[in-house]
Amino acid sequence: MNLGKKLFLALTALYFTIPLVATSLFSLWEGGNRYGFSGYISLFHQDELWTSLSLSFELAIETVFASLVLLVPAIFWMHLRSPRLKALFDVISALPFVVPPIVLIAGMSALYTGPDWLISTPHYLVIPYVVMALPYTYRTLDVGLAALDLKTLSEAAQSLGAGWWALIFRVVLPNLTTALIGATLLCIAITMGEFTFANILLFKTFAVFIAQIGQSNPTEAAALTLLSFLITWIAMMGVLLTGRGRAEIGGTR
Amino acid sequence: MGYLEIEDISKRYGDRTVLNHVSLSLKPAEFVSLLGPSGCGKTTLLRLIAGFETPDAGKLMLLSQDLAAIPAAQRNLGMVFQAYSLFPNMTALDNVRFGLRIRKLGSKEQILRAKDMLALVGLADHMHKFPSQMSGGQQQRVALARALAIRPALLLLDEPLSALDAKVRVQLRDEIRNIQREAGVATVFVTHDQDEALSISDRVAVMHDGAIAQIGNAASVYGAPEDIFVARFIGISTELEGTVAGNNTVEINGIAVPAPQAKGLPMGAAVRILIRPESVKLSPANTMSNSALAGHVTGETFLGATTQLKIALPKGDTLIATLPTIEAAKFPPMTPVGATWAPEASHLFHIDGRRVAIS
Repeated sequence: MNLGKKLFLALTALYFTIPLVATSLFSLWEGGNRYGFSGYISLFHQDELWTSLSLSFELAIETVFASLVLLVPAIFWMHLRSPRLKALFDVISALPFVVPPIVLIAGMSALYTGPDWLISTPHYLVIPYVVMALPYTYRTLDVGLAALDLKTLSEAAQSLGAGWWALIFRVVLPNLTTALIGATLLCIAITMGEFTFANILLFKTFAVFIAQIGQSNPTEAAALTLLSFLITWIAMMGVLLTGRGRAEIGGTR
Repeated sequence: MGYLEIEDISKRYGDRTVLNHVSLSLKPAEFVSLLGPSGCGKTTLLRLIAGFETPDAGKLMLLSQDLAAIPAAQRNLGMVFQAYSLFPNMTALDNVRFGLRIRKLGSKEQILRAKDMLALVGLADHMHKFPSQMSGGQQQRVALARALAIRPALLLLDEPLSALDAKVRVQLRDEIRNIQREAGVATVFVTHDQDEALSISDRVAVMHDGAIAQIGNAASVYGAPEDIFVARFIGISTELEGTVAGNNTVEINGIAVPAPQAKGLPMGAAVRILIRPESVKLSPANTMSNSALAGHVTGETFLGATTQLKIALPKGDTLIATLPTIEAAKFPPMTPVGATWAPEASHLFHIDGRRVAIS
């Protein structure tokens, strides 16, 4: 590696690490020249941290569940029986990139009416979260299913006597574990960090809690930001690790 | 009534007729190949039998039972596909067990039978390998074991060898035949490769444009083609045009050639004559008979025990002759030669492609 490349890499590394280092230093600042963990300690003693964290986590699990139940059968069917719909699916899945969250939320508050147990509770957030995660979950599952020769595998299973149930639970899903884990972790990462929807609809999720703390207690906010980074990183690391293990599915040697 | 009866089956996709009134009957334990160029309907016919497609007209009967109302999963047919079809998440053993699991056999019985099947295809040592750890040939063997493990009423092979390299292909086709004989299961084998079909089948059905052009054993399909499509498709041959010049004679390029098949045809009728390369006899030009076609050698292809010679005839035709290599050495390129053949060795067709009926 020549000097130019090294310099470029070093600058890139600095660009990403300086804010993180600065944030962690700031999270330890106790005024004047004093540094310590008091910010973290007072943060961990706030009940709101744990309620908002567990709410966000609950929403993440619900989003994962709703996304998979909705998408797995739809994408499975699209690959097996109507490959022509793929273009349409691709466009729909990219819509959340095009429509800003603020438009989505305006539409949701204006158009959606429904039972109180849904509309007036934070679980209502699962609907926009599924939509927001759609580009990522759809693509992950689509790639996973495309890697399987679904037509041949399903015909082979049928010729051996398998019905739809056995086909899906014994053949398709076990070969889709990498994609399923990937979609799940991406869903979690997105939901844990989502701010716009929750803030406008006045639900105190983890991201909303971070913002509030930031207005009153900046060092605790810095500590919290690092914590939220950590959760996202763990999820991302999970995606990377599961993606690596069985990259060779179905091939020949 | 046969073991499998295909009666007057037709299938269309939109306005394209893929199968046009096809009938075929299989005996128990018989090995029948469906042979034809791509688009002839052979794979569609196999998929109809398997239950992955439904016929527009006609009837499929297996063991005197109408298959129409039976879904693919309940037909109890073993199938091996062209594409690798093993379940990637299962070992070879679990793949072979799959159909037995579905049938809810006892797990001891499942494992015993699956191991037997893997031993039958020569892969007993590989039973714990995943498909991605096996070669293409091994995967197709496991697929065969998996299809046979359920003791199918019928074995369907959809070009199982076409993704493999040449050497494995020849080896595996012979093994498939041996295993099929051992298992005693009636088999329909789809292929576009005539060597495969001719070498391992009890009978070969040559398909063309959605219909069976000819069905018979390898010798009859090769040696007595019923129409010009079969003659052109199976093996190589030289095709010459001629006119009937007498009761037992056809005139080719002005030379009267004996052809007993021409008996009864009107004088001057246009015919096509096909000659297999191994039927052609060559003699030096100075000793050739009156009924020999004169030409000269333009090329030779060494094939080992035999050598294939190309002989240019007047008017631009090229005659192909296969001779023992020792014999062919007497006719180096540019040698003027006379070509003859035993009168009964040529095949005579009407100009529309029908075989001339021997009267």
